[in-house]
Amino acid sequence: MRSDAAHLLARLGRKDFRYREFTDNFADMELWPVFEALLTDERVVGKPLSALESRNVEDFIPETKVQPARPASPPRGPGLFDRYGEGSRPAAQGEGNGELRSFLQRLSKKDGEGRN
Amino acid sequence: MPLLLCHSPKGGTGTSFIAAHLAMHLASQGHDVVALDFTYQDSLKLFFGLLPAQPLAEFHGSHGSALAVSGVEIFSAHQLAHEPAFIAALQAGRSPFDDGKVYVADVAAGDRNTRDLLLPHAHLRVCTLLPHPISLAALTKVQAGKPTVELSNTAFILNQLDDTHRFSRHAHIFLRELLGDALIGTVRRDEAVNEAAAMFEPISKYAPASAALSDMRAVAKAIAGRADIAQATDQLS
Repeated sequence: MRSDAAHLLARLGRKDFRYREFTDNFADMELWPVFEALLTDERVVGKPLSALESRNVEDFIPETKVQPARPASPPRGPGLFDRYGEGSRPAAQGEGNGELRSFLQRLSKKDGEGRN
Repeated sequence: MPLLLCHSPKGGTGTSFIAAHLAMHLASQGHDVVALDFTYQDSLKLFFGLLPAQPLAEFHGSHGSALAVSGVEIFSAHQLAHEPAFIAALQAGRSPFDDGKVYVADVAAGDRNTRDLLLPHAHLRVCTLLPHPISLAALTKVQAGKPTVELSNTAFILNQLDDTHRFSRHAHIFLRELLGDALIGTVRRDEAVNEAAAMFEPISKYAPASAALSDMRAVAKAIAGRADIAQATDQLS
């Protein structure tokens, strides 16, 4: 348990609080299309990517179009909301995301060098 | 010229909240702080616990009589930003902010003219984002002609962060990687901010244990360090 939560419980005199920590590390980050759009926008990241970087970005972008396998939904009878789609989800962690990570890491490194 | 310019390319991100608490934190550290509300909405004062009907003096140099709350002199500067003499002076490089005080300017998202007028005189631009797609998309509009990741005098704050929401967590990770040290801090989503404003009380009085207040103090401290406020005011006073 994080120290601030433990401190809070101590102040409240409670020990049986339900506790859950919501954390994601870099590997858990999903590739939302809005992130892709920003990473390929010159107004955000600057000059066009080099040929190698462009190829890597193109490598991972098509991956995001593939919908990941999803758990089967429970069977439902006819209902009021049947005609609504379930909406698409961003690409789950996969091969393409590895490219994104490496790209972000390169970008972060390049950015750090530029600021110094 | 310790002028801290608070401006976001997208409205509704909490820029006035950030500006007000940045000003209050710096005042609590012993600085002479002037908060300038350049917005038409005139909402900066609400975060100091003032009422909508309480008028602010117009800023005409720091020698006027201002309302002082929590150690911060608060002025309206919306009309000033449209006065030809003020515009001409700033464009000519003459700054009214060179008197050893710390100026915190709250500029509306859509008011690019005032932003561009003040930016050359600013020690640091403070740009507030939300972990929302629409706010992130505005990263393309921070400054025309210069990529966002190459802006050297801009600090970003991710406001209303909520780790119980997936996109909020992912946006935080993404911005940390994209912006690096330019993402100077985060402020957690906290209903106490709304409630304090509704009570016309500063958060420090209404909810001293507020998570947003705690985060804001850390962010303000980081901004003061990034802008080297102590050194800047020493040189000018």
